[in-house]
Amino acid sequence: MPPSTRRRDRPRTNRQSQWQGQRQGQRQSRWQGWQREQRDDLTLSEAGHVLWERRALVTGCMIFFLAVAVFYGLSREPVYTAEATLSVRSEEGIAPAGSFDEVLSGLRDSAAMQEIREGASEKAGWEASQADFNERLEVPEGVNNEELKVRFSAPTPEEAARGANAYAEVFVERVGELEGRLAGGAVAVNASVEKAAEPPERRSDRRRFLVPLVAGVGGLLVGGGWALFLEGRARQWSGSRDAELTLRAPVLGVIPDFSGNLVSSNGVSSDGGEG
Amino acid sequence: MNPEQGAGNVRVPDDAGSGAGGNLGVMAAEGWSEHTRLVLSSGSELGRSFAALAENLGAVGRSAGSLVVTSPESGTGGTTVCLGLGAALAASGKRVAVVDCNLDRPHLHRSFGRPNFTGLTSALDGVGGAESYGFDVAWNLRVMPTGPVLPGSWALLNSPKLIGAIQALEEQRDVVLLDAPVVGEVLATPNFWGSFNGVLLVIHATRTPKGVARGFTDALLDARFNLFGVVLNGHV
Repeated sequence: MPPSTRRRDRPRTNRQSQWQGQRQGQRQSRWQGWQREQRDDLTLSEAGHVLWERRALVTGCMIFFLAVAVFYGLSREPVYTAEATLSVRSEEGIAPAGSFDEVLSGLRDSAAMQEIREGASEKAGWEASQADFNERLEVPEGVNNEELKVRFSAPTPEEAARGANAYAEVFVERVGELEGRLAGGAVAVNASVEKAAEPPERRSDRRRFLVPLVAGVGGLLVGGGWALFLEGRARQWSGSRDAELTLRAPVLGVIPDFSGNLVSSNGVSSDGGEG
Repeated sequence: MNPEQGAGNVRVPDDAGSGAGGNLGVMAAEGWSEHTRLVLSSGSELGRSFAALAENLGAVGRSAGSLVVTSPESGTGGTTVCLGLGAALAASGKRVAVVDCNLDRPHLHRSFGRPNFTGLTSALDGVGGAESYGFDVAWNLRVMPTGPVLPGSWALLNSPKLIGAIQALEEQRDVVLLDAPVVGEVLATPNFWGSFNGVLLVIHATRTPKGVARGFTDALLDARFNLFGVVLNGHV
């Protein structure tokens, strides 16, 4: 390097460092509000913008999920649940209350309970398997206020009532047979059908409304997620608002595509893509 | 398009006083690509768009000093924006320099059909200021190619002399537009690019993936670059 240039360079070095210091300060002071914003999270306006831009996809997804849910609902058998109430009480004074609960618990766990179920299935004329009957039968764990509510679910109201009543009647019969033999004769249990089950008027499968609702929300979420994923990979910017919302930065200029105006390109891409 | 109609109100020194109505002279534009003629034309819709960009920059107080023009990916039109914005600022009376800082892939000189014999790198070793290694393409608008580069010339971006050369250019020009490499490379040498007033991010309306653009915008702000804003190029 020529000496003259070096002489010019030397004093400039100090000035440059001062200048750079001033510029750092200028940069800090010019730090705009939008630049300080939290940028990690997706804002509601951004999400709304993306969902609106891809509303066809989101709506399509939601409709598809809803259609699947409706088809599922229609293909499922209806469910009716009937309830029979049993009165189960111990003979007063013969045994303490704790012993009575123990006896009931033992009865439920015993092979006798399975016999009651099988008997009930037979009595109700249940044509499907015993396991299916057992699945539809709902017997609570404990006796509440000397009441035992037995529920049975079936595709028709009549079958539901028949199943619940069959179980209740067989239970009463079975307890009668066991009278005097429970807890070594220390406990006497009386059981009777307090209220027989009647065919229900309404379907009990409330999930038939829940499933489409969940499917709709699920479709919205899946469609929304898909839309956001596609948006991240998209290369099509619809305009300055799209760019501002996507980048969260001000768009200072929009330069139109002028490829149509070019007759030829001289080693440069024809649509403003140079550089 | 007829080259003689191309430049609108931007005047090149050769015919500034020729009474040609502010159009580019054919001789001055010899070797220029059609693309370059269009970009430097201020009478067209394209020219008005660049004028609007220059106005917006002025409105936010950014129309002076040094401005790094970068993009998330190559091919988004960073050079186009540099030239168009430079022409618009020059037409508004500012003295502008456009500097090609793509030391790995110089291309600004090609827009004007010029060899890359002298330019920014020449200013590091040569006599005289960086200003003397460029050439005027319009009234108040000077272009400085990279000058001769070798593989690995990007390492010069770590050289304080290069910063000094560009800052010296700022003393003679109201606005210095730095045609920078892609954002990834800018982020790799923050000391160099952070030495200037701010950054303008160019995205292409049909090529730049939104996720990539968003990621690089966040990265620029995380690295504390003074991002002035975004230019949406190639909008259909």
